[in-house]
Amino acid sequence: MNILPLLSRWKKSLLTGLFAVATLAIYAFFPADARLNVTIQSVLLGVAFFVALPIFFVRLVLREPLSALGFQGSIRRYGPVAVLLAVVPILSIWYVLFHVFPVAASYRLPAVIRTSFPFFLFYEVVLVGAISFLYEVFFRGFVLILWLRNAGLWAVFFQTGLFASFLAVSGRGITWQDVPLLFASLASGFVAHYTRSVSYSWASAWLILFLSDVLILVIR
Amino acid sequence: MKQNTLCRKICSAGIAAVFLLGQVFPVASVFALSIPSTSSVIGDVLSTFHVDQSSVQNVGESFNVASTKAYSPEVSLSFSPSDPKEGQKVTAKAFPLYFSNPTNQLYFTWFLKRKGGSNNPEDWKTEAMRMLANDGADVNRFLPGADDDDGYKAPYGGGDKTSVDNSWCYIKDPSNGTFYELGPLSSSPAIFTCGTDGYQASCLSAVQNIAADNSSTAAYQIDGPPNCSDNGTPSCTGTQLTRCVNPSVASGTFGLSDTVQRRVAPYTDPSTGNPVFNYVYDPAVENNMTCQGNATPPADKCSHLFPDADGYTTGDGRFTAGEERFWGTNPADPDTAKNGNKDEANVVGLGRDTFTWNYQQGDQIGLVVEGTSMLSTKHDDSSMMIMWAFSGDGCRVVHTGSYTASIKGYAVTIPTTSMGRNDFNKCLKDNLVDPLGAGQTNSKNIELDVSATPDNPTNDKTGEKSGDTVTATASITNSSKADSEVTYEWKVELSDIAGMNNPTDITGSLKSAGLLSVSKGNGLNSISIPLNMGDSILGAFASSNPVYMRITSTATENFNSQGDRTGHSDVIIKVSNSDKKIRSYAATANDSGTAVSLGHEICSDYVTNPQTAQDAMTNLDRISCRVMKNEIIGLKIDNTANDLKDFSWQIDGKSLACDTSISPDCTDGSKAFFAVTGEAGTTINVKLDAVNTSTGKAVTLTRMFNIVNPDIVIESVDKTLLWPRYLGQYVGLNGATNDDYSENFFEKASSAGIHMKARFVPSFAGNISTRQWQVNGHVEPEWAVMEINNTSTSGGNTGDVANISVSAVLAQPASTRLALQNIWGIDATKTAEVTVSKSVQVTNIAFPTAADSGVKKFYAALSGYVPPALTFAIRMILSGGLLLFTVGFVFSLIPNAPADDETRRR
Repeated sequence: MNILPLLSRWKKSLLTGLFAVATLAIYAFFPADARLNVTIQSVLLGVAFFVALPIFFVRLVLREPLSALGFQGSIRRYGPVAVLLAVVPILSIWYVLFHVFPVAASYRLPAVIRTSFPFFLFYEVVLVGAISFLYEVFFRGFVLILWLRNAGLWAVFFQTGLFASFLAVSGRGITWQDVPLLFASLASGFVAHYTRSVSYSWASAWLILFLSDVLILVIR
Repeated sequence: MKQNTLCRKICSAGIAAVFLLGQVFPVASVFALSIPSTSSVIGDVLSTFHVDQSSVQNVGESFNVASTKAYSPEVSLSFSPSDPKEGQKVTAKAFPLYFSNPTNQLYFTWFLKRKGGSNNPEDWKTEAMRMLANDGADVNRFLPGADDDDGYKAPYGGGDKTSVDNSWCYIKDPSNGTFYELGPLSSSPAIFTCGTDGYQASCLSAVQNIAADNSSTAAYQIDGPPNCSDNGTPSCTGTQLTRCVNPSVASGTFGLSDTVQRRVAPYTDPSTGNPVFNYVYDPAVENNMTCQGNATPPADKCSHLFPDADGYTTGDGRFTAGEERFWGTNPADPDTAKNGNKDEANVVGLGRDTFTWNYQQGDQIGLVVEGTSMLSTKHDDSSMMIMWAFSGDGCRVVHTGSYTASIKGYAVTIPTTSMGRNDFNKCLKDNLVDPLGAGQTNSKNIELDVSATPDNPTNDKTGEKSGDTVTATASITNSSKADSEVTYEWKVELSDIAGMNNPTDITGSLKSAGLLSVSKGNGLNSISIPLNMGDSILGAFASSNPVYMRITSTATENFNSQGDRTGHSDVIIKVSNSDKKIRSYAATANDSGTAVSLGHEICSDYVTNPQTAQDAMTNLDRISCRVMKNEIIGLKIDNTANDLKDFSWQIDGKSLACDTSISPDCTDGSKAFFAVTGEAGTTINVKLDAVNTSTGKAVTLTRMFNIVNPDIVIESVDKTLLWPRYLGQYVGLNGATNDDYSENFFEKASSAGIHMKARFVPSFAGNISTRQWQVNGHVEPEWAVMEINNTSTSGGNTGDVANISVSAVLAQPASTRLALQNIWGIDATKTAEVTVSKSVQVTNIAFPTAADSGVKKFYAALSGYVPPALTFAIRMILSGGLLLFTVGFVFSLIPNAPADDETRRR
């Protein structure tokens, strides 16, 4: 049986998937330097592995435009609607969970953002925005839009599962702290699937994370 | 025959009469009737009142010379600094005494003599007083001005006096104590007159009384006493007589040979015409005659010693422009020196008891203070003696004389001197003081004091180096230098008797043995000698006990270029030189807590070659044993050979009694017990006095205990697998470089477990401890006594940190607490348990292997110098690049599907 035609046919999907898994593995097990701040190392690794590497891969290996990663507008022009449709149900679910499970006791926010509004803005806009952007580019743009472009709606759930696995491995378990991220992954996955745009998925993910924090602060 | 009979009868009757008279009037009665003498009457009176005649004589003799002992004004100087450097400001401070004026009303006339400068005392005064008046002001910046009213008229005797006619100035001759009044000498010769022309008033000495002989060859005509002007009475000194002599007339001859110096002339009494005496006439003493009675007091009695500007008089109340220029004062400022005095008042030195100038080598300073003394004059007025005080030897009086004044009807003789300004100036060189001289330091020697501690040290000649350390300290009480500029030289001597006869100098031996690092050096005001002297150092005193150590310090300071100041002192210490030691034990109590006995020995460990601080502390325990509060300590001196007797224990100077009611061990006095009751940081000194049974000499031994808070130290059992973190190096007091390791942070090979042990301070505290270990918060059972061996921590990642902690409860046994209460009265509530704990961190590090050598080791070392951010970035880029390259390479190997190629072409 000649496997080469089969490889030739599926080589883009195979190697893209291989690249994605390898990237996540390297990220999760990248040895940290005890002499440097762990957060800074995580951010730098995220920028390099979740943003730079996919871009280089698309441009240098696949020789495709960045729109293949979702750096483009909504293809169906209902991006904002998709964002709302994704965010509202998720927040509703999150609200219910809040009252059913002891989420508030487990969900931790930096003390400084509870006492200082400027720090709250900085945290939510800059830090949460930046972190969610890294995840959007890789999991929604690279995994969902590029790699699983032919998987249909299953791609949304697959990338969410991949993201959950990644969190579990790199964060050594999933807590209530990670639930908004998982919700955001699922919701933004839907947005990305329908709009093929990372911008809208990023907007929906950020809104979910931001409003989740707000909800926590308000309910507490 | 009849005559004989008659004679016999008469004689018998006479004898009988005498006998009867003798019975009626005894001899004593006859003498008692004699007239008593004056001296016998005075003697009887003094005897009646119990007054010793010799005492009266003594008082009288002192009274006779009391006038020469009166306290006359004096002045002393002190300098600051006492050792001035060239160009440095020096301040001389005057301390006048025995003046009736306040200090600010005295006239201080300073004079400064520069080396190689003028020899004229007027110049000396001018230089000093110009400095005072000008006070360093810049003369060139003075503007010419009108009279600024800065004159000052200086009355005699001080600023608070008034110049009147009865100002009497005096000077005391330091050689005979006589006070001389200033003024012209008495004019005696001019006021004597003889009745006959050719005769002159002369004083004659009645040294010979010879018969008149008109044949004398050189006799002078002598007449009666001369007359004295102002109705006075002529007077000669002593027994000399006042007579008129005609020295040019020699009548007749005299047969004696002494006709050259002594011309003898008969004196014919005018009333009888008979010669009565013969006198010696000496022309040389003829002027000694004085006129007593209504003599006229001399005029111009006082003067000042102020320096004068050329052509001007200082202190006359007029301070002219010429004087302003001369003294360098500001013509437009009445107080150039800004001290509250007018310029002329500063020139006369009114109240200027301090003088500051820039010292130059060879400078000498002097001072004359004018003021009114506390001595009254003999004149019939309210005057007190106006006098001068000199800073040095005073002034020898010359040109003396006297005059006689009628005071209160009595002829009073007043000694006088005609000393003038030049005479006083000649005195000034005797009153110069060198600021560096002995005059202000009073001593060329350094006053040194040496002390040493402890009082009764013990020498250890066994080689275990547990002897006390003697520290000797020298202190100087009159140093003019910083301690670092004083050279100290120490000498240590030994003797077997306290008198230090024939001592042996062991300074060199101590240095050779390393017991004394240096014995001479600048600022070396203290030395410490560990008394670990072996027989080689002790020499002839090896078997002596006690020995006496004399520590002598000689201090030398370079006082100035003219020489050094030195001083030395010593201290003698009694050193116990026995090979016996007071041994200490942890005491144990019986169950009822009514008696104690010796347990295991403590503070006896010795590390031959101490490598760590713990080793050193262990050895130090032999000198100062670390103990805990509420412990019972037993003491023992080895007396198995019965070579000691009459034991006397003391603890901190108080008797430490021990009998069988305390312990069955207390039988011969060689053992004792005490409870540690002080707080941490307190030192307990135990002293044992005993008598050597063979020599009869007293033996003194001491032992020191230091109360500490109990503590735990966690250590590695195998330092090849788990070791304290290396911190760096430090330079010890001996100059050696030592490695420094952390006590709280450890490192281990990732593959190794955690095998650690606890060490207690003091070490025997572990015996009463109950311990609980934790590793990363989990309780860890002891693997052995005081040890844990956790293997679960092996195999971790590099950088993993494990937290190890141990908590120990130190509780005295109940029997000990009962003993503390029963024997020493320490309430049991105060002897409860104590908890101590310790935590350390152990970090996994990459364990170096044999492969980590050569080139790898070089790269490893090189990477150590690269910033961690850079190495992180390189690792990140290389990882991503490798991934990208690998996937891209594989991608390029696999051919594209035709559809894809078609797609790309389109």
